[in-house]
Amino acid sequence: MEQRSPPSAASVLLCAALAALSAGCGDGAPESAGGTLVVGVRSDFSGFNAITNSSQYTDELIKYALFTPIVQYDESLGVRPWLAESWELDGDSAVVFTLRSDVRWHDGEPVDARDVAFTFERAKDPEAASLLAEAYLSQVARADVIDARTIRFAYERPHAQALENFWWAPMPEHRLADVSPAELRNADFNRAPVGSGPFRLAEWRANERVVLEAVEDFPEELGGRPSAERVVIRVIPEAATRLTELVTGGIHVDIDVAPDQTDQIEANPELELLSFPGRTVYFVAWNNLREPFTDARVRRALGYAINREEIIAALLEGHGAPAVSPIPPWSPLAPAVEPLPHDTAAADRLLEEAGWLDRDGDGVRESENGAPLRFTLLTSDRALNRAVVEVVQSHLRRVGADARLQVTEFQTMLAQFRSREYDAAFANWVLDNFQVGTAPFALFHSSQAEIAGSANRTSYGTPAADSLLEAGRAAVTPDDAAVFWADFVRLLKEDQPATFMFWLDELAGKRAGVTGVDMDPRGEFRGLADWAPR
Amino acid sequence: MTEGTLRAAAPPAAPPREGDSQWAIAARRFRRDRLALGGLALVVILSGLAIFAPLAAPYDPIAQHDIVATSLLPPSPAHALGTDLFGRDVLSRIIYGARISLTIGFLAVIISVTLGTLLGAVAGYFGGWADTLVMRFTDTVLAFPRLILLILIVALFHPSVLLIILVLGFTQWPGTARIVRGEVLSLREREFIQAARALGFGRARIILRHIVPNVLGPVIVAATLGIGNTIVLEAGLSFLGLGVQPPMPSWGSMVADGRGNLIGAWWVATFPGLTIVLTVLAFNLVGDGLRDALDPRLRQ
Amino acid sequence: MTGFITRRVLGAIPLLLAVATLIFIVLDLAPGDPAAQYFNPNVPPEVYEQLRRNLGLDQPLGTRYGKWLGSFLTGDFGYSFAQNRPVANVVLDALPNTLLLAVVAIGAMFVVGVLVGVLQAVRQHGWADRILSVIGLFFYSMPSFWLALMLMLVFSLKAHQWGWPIAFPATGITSFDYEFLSPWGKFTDRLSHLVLPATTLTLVLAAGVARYTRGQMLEVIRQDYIRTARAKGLPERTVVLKHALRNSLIPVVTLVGLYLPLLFSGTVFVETIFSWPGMGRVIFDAISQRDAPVIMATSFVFATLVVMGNLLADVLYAVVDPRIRYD
Repeated sequence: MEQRSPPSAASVLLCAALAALSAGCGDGAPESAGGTLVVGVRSDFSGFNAITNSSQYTDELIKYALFTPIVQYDESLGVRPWLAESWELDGDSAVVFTLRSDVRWHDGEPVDARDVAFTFERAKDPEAASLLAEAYLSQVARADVIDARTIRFAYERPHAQALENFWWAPMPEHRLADVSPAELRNADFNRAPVGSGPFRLAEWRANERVVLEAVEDFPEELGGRPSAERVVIRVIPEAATRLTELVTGGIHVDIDVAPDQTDQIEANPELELLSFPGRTVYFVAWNNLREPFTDARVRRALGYAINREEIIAALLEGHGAPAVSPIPPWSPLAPAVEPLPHDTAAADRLLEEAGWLDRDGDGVRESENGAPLRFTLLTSDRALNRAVVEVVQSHLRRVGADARLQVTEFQTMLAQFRSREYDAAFANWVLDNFQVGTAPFALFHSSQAEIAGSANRTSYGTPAADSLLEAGRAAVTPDDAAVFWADFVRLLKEDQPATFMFWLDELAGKRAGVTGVDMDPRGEFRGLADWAPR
Repeated sequence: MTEGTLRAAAPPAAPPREGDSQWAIAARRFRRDRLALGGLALVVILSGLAIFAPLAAPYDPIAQHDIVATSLLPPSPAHALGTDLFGRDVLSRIIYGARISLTIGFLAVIISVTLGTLLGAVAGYFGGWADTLVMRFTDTVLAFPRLILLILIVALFHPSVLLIILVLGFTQWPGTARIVRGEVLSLREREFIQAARALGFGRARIILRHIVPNVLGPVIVAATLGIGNTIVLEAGLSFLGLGVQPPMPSWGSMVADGRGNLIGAWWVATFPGLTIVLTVLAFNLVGDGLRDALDPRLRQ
Repeated sequence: MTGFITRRVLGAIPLLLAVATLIFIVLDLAPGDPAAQYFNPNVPPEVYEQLRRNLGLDQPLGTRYGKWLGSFLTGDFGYSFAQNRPVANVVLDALPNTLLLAVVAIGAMFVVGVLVGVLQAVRQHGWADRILSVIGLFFYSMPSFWLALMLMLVFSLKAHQWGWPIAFPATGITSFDYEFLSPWGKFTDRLSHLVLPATTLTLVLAAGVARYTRGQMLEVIRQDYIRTARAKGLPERTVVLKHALRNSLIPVVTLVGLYLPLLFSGTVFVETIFSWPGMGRVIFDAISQRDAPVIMATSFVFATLVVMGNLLADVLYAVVDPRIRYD
C-alpha cells in the first residue's frame, strides 16, 4: 500500500511493532536463576547519577548498591570511613581524605581523587542545577587533588557536622568528562551507569524492572561480594498488587507497605513486617501571613486541638512517633522536648482569648466583626495525606474551627504551597541527610521567608528564632549545637508556625525465608548487599 | 470507558413517527419488558435514597467518633456493610454517595444531550460547511481517548463537582451529535418539513419545533445510557484521586480509599464497587428497554 | 483504494495537529510546572530557576510552541523532563507492551463477542439469550478498575491461598526468572501474565460486540436470501453459519475503530493495577509529573492509533465486502 503518513509517527509505530516481535529474544542471560532476590517498589527510579539525582530510592541505590560514597554512616549514625579509608582534619577549616586503592569502576579503572574532584566541580557548577551541591556542598568551598589517592576539601566556615558533607559517591570522570554540566541530567550514562559499588546495573526496563548483578571482587572490608547473585527490583505502583505479589511469592521484599496493610503481613506466617524510624516528618503549615494564622495564639490553639495520638494509633496503626520539630527523634542531637498535648480545653481558652467565639451558635467560631473561623486545608492526593486531613478536619471542628479540605493532585498542590497561596497545608518533609540544621534553617529562617518559592512557606521569621538557627548552624561541637537546637525547638513549640504531626515509620514486608534484611533510618536499601533469598 | 458500544448497536435512522400514538405504543411495549422495569425500579429506589438520604441513612456519613475503636469494623447488624478507616458507616456513605454520583450523572448528561442535539441538528439540517465543521470537530474529540482528556483537565485544575460535571458534559456530546445528525438527514427531506419550509417558517423554528421533537426517541435512549457511562467515568476519576473533595462521599473515591486494604478490609472497596455496577446496570437496562420500545422495526 | 487511503491519511494530519495543539494550550494554562517535581527541602529558588532555564520553560508560550512544532514535525519528540531521556525511547519502551495487550484483548473480545452474539441470535428470546444479555450488560456496566481489583483478588491472591490448581500472576509481563526458562516456558510465562489484564479489558468490551453481532444477525436472518436458503431446505446450521454469519460479520469489523479509544482509556487503570509497563501508565505518570513532552507525544501516538484503527476498519470493510468501493 502506498501510504503517506507523518514520518515521526510512522517510524515510532514501525519500531514499536518490530520491538514487539523481537521481545523475548535472548539477551545473554546467565545460566540459572539461583540466588535471585526480587524486590517490589512503588515507582520507577530516575537516572543513576549522584550529581543530578533528586529522588530518594535512586539515591539509596547510588549510595548502597551501584556506587561507593566517600564516607558512610554506621548504625548509631556516626560517620565511618568508606571509599576514604582515613581522613585528617586540617584545623577546623579543611579535611584531607585518603582513598582506598582497591575500589574500581566496573570497567576496571581505579576510583581515584580526580573522580572525586570532578564530581565536586560538576556539582558546584550552577549549570548542572545539582541537588548534591545544595544538600552536601553548600559549606564546602574548594577541592584540591594532592595525589591519586589524596584530596583536600576547604570549608566556607567551620561547623559541627563537617564530615557529613561527604556522604556522596563520586562519578567516573573518564565516562562523564565530555558531557556539559547542563546536559548531565540527560546523559546516557544515567541509564547505563558504570558504577563502583557491590552491584552493577545489568538491565533497566522503564516502569518495569531494574536488575542488579553482584560484583565478585568488591573489597572485603566494605562487605565483599553481595549475598544475592542477582537482585531484580520490580516497579509495582498499586499497594494492593504489591501485597498480593508478596503473599503469592512474586516478590521477596515489599519496600513500601502502607500502615493499613501491616495486619495482613503480621497475620501471615509466611511473611514478616519490618518497621523502622523514617526520615519523613508530616506537619500542618499555617500561612503566617494570612488571617487567622497571623496570631500565634490561634496557631497554638489548633496545635492543641489536633490529636496526634489518635492519628498515629488509627491511621498509622501505631507505626509513627509524635513530632515536635523537623529534627528527627532518633538523631543524636534531638532535643528532649515533648509536643503540645491534645487539650481541647486549652484550645478553647486560647481561641476565646484571641477573640474567636461562636457568636451565632452554628458550631463555628466568629471574630468580633463576624468573620467565621474558616479556612482551606490543602494537601496532595496520596492516600495517607487524604486520610490525615479528614481526621484533622474532624478534630478542628470540635474546637469550632471549620477547615475546608482541598485535596489536589501533587503538582497542583505543590505549586500552590510553593507560591504561598494557601491558608493551611498538610505536607511532609523528607530529610535527605543527617545534618540537623539544614531543615530548620530552610523552613523557618526569616531570610528564607522573603525569597519567592523558598522552603519557608509559612513565612515565619522572628529575630529570636533567627539567632538560635544561626547559632545552631555555626556551633563547632555537637554539644554546643545541641543547646541551641533545644532552645529553638521550645520556641517552635510555643510559636507553632507549623504544627508538626508525626514521623512516619518506614514499613516493609518480606517473605520469612529471606535472610539478612535489616532496615534502619539510613534507608530501606542500606543492607541490600546482605539480603539473600532462602 | 465504555461509551460507544451501545452507540454502535443503536439502530440506523428510524422511520418517521406518527404523532402521540407512537409514544403510547412504546409505553405499552416498555411495560411488558420485565428487565427494563426492574432497572427502572432500581433507578427509582436509588433516586429516592439519594433525595431522602438523611432519613434513609442509619448514620452520619461524615462525622467521626472514637476512630481507634470504630475503624474498619466488618459487616455486622450494627453496620450492615461495615465501617471504613475513619469508623464511618459504609452503608450510610453509599446512600449519601448516591447524591453525588446521580447528580453528576444527570447534570452532565443534560449538558451533553443538549449540546449534542443542537450540534447534530445544525449539522444535519444545514449540511454543507456547517456539517463539515461540526463533524470535523466531532472527529477530533472522538480521536482522543476520552478518559485521558478528562484526567488531563481535572488533574491540571482543581477538581470540584462543578468542574467534573462540566468536563464530563462537554466531552460526552459527540455520540448524541452523530445520532441526531443521522436522524435529521433523513427527516429533512420528509414532507412535513418541506411543508413547514414552504410555509416560510424560520429555520430555528423548524429545528426546534419540528425536527427536535422527532429525534427525541433516540436522544432519550442515548441520554439514559449516557448517565450510566458518566457514573462509571466519575468513579474512574475518583479512583485516580481526581474526584470530589473529601469528606464528601462518592462511590469512586470510596473504592479508591479502600483498595489499598482490599485484602484485609474487603468490604470498604467491594460494596461501593457493587453499587456502581448495579446502578449503571439499572440505567443500561432502562436504556435498552427504551430502545426496544421505541424501535418501530421490532414491532411485530 | 490507494487514493482513498492517501486522502484519509492526509486528512488526518490537520486533525492530529489540532489535537496536539489543544493539549499544548491546556498544559500551558495549568498551574504547576515540571521543574517543581524536584520537591526537596534543599532546592533553593536559584537552582529551581536554573532547572527551568535548562528545560526551556522560561520562554514565552509562542516561542515554545514554535520550537516544539518545528522539532515535532521533523520527528524529534524531545527529552522527557521527568525521565531525562529521549521521549522517543519512553514511547518505544511502552508502546509494544500496550499493543500486545490491545491486540490480545481485541482478538479475545471479538471471538467471545461474536460467539455469544450468534448464540443469542439463534436462540432469540430464549432463556440463553436473556441470561447472556444480562451477563453481558453486567460486565459492560462494570468500571474496569473495579473488575481488575476483583479479578486480582480472586484469581491471584485467593487462588493462591486456597490452593487452586491455577493462580495467575498479578503483575508484570514476565516472571523474574524469565531469562532462564525454556522457549515453551517463556511462551506460557508470557501468556499467564497476559490473562488477568487482557481478561479485564475483554470482559468489559465484549458485551458490546455481542449485542452488535446479535443485532446484525437478526437483521440478516430476516433478509430474503436467508428465507430462500431455508426454503431450499438447507440445514439450519448451514444457513446460520454460511449465509447469515458471514454477512453479519462485515459491519462488526468497523467496531475496531470505535473500540480503540475505549481500550486505550481502559489501559490507564489496567496497566496501573496489574503493573503492566505500557502507554496508559506512561501518560498518567507524565500528567502527574507535568512532563509536557511525554504528554504531547503519548497523546499524539494514541490519537494516531485511533485514526489508523478507523482507517484499518474502513479498509477491512472494503476487503470483506466486495460491494463497497472507495475511490
